[in-house]
Amino acid sequence: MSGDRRRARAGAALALLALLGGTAACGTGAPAEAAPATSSAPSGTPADPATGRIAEVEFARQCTVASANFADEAGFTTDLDARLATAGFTHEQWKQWHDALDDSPALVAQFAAVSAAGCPPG
Amino acid sequence: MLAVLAAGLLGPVLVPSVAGAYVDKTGVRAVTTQTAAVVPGQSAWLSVVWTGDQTVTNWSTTVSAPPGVTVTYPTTRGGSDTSLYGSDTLVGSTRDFTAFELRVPYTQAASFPVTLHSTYTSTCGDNGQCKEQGGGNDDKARDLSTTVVVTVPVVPAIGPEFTQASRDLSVPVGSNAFHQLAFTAGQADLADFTVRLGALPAGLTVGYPGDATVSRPAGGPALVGRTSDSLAVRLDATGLARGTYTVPLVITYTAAAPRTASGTVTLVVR
Repeated sequence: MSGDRRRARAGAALALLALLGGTAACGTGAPAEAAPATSSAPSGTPADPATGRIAEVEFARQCTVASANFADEAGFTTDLDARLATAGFTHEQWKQWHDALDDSPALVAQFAAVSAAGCPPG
Repeated sequence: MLAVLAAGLLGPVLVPSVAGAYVDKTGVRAVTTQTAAVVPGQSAWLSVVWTGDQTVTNWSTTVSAPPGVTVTYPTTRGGSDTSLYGSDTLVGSTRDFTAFELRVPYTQAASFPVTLHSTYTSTCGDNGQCKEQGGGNDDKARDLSTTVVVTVPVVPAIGPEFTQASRDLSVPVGSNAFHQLAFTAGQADLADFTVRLGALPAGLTVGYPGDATVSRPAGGPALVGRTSDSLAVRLDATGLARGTYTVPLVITYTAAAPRTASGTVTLVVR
């Protein structure tokens, strides 16, 4: 991986923190509560309740997407955006979270924890 | 005897040593064993979910389907392969999916397999530890691949083959202009979809785009399953008095076979 790509991802991670923090504040009327990271990794975007909620949205989507049949390619994004909107997030926030996964063991560990129980039956 | 001897001599050269072969330690695997169901005649975007134990990059997947089933890939990849939804990186211990479109012929009434061949790059060391995670033991990037077969269930279509969304047209008296008639396909695609007006009330004349004898969907000759499209008709009502008229429609299309259906539109001249 190139240094430029890493720097870009680091920048995205910082933006993610700002965006997610702002979202949590807007959504709850209070500043986002800091949560302990689920990994001791020294770098990367830390996990917090907001990233946990995005991980929940993403895992729920991954559990059902293969049983969905869309008329056009955009259907995948429409489905994701509807789930995100219900949870109070935007597609851009999801994208920044997703891009940050690569450099954040904390976010990966949080996603793994969210998915540990597996998909609901059916 | 000579062939046996030759095979014995060439064997070690042509066949890689098992002991020397690199074993994929990424744990990349498909979570999906069966996609969403499709109906005969349908174009459908489907997906297969993947996971892995280690992060891999440069993800590319190609899909092989039985004869008659057409595979289309996302436009963002140039049309020759598909990757993952989020990016071309599958981060270890997470999930992502590949998306592709299958166009299933009307003759395909039974479930069928599709084969997905995925290639990806691992930068984890030969001891299975990854440099990104602080434990890599070499600087090699290994191009790896996996092939899986998933089942695409085929179920009978339900519901009408199409619905006519526009049932009323209101035009000013003395007008001569194009108007749109909207139709929505059922689950399956309808090829060569056309509409023309049948017997016209005295004083009304009709025209179609391009001076054709019928109107076709604005988006192309087919009415694609589960989508709506509009067809233009020019109504010359200059010789028509105010009032309400019932105008017959002749609708033709090809599903499993060529078909003709009828409809009506209520024309209000105001």
